[in-house]
Amino acid sequence: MEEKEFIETVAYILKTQDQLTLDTELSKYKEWDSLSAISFISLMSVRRPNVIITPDLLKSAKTVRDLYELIDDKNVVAD
Amino acid sequence: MLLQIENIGLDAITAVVSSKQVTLEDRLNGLVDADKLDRTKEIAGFDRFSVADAGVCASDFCAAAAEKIFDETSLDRNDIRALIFVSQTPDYIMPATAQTLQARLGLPRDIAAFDIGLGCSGFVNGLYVASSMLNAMHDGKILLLCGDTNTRNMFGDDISCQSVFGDGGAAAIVSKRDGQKIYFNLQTFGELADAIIRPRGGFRNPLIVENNALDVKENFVTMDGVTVMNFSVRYVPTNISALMNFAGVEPSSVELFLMHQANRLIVETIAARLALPKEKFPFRAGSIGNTSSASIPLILSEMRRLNEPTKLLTVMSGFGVGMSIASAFVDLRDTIILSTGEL
Repeated sequence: MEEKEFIETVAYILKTQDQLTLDTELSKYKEWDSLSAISFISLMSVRRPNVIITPDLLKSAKTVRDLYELIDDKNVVAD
Repeated sequence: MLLQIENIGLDAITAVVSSKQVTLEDRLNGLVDADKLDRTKEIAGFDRFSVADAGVCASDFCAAAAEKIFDETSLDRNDIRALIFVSQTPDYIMPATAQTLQARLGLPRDIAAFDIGLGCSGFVNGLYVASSMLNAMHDGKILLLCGDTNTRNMFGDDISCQSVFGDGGAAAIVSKRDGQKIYFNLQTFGELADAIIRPRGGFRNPLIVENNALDVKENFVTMDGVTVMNFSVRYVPTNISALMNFAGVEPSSVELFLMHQANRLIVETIAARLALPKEKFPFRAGSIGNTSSASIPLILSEMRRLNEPTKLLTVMSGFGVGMSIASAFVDLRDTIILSTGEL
């Protein structure tokens, strides 16, 4: 998934019009909560079906970049 | 485990919910702001819930559903040779609720009756057990009852539970049917048992009793929403694909995909993962809630109530607590579906 599309997806989940970057801190947005976490998993499961996003990894993400790294090829697992 | 059971069909299915309803707004009042309330409604998809009145148990909804079938169809209770009650909220620690249901429903003594302790995967697992038993029986039918009073499992300020759970019960009659097969794909993921668990009150951990055990949050269900979401969107589509492949059925010829109504987003994501139109994946629990094992029959009874077609070729999939997944390819073209009843 391209970086630009990924950032737009995160903005969509956070329901914000702000221009996000990879360095944007997630904690700036009160919408970054358990609901947006499951929206994130839902969207990524369709785009990156073989990536496993564990609750611990998701909780430790501080920035948009951290989220982007969660769906990196290195996290791909076989079925 | 992929398997097929021959000469089996469903005669009738219906479900019953509570006449008492509570809104999401009332439940989350004081727990979330207006913005989060709207987002919860949008993502989980529930705006009202069926809530059992004090003293009403899952078995009461199930008994009402069974009586509805005996009242409104020509199916005869004297033909029942086994009763299976699937629930995680039985009436008693012992005896099994199935025995009390046999007496309450006036079923013959010459039957087997037992409980199965399953939740969201319970209807399809129950159908598998009933189908297997019928193979060994000379005659007769099986009454499959399933349901839960989930609202009794959740603590007052637990937002994730309060956003989804409702109460209800369902009944189905399973019988021998020449030439008809049901295909199953059953899976168990016990390593994820902690994702949805009510750890106290059984024999492993006692209830914590201070002034009143009902005031202690640790005595109730905990649900890890992120793990449940991950599990559902990752493993359920794979399970369903394997089932359709095993049954030799093209996804395009399945007319209806009856997914456990965990929440709206999970149902829609499973459709998206399978690259199938979401219109074939009805979500009809928005004013009922997630009723665990009753949720698949409830989709059908709600569709019947709304005059939507139900006599179709279906794939059913129950998934969740356990964790477990049970899917089946079932022909409902000759099954009576009765619209949802109220208790």
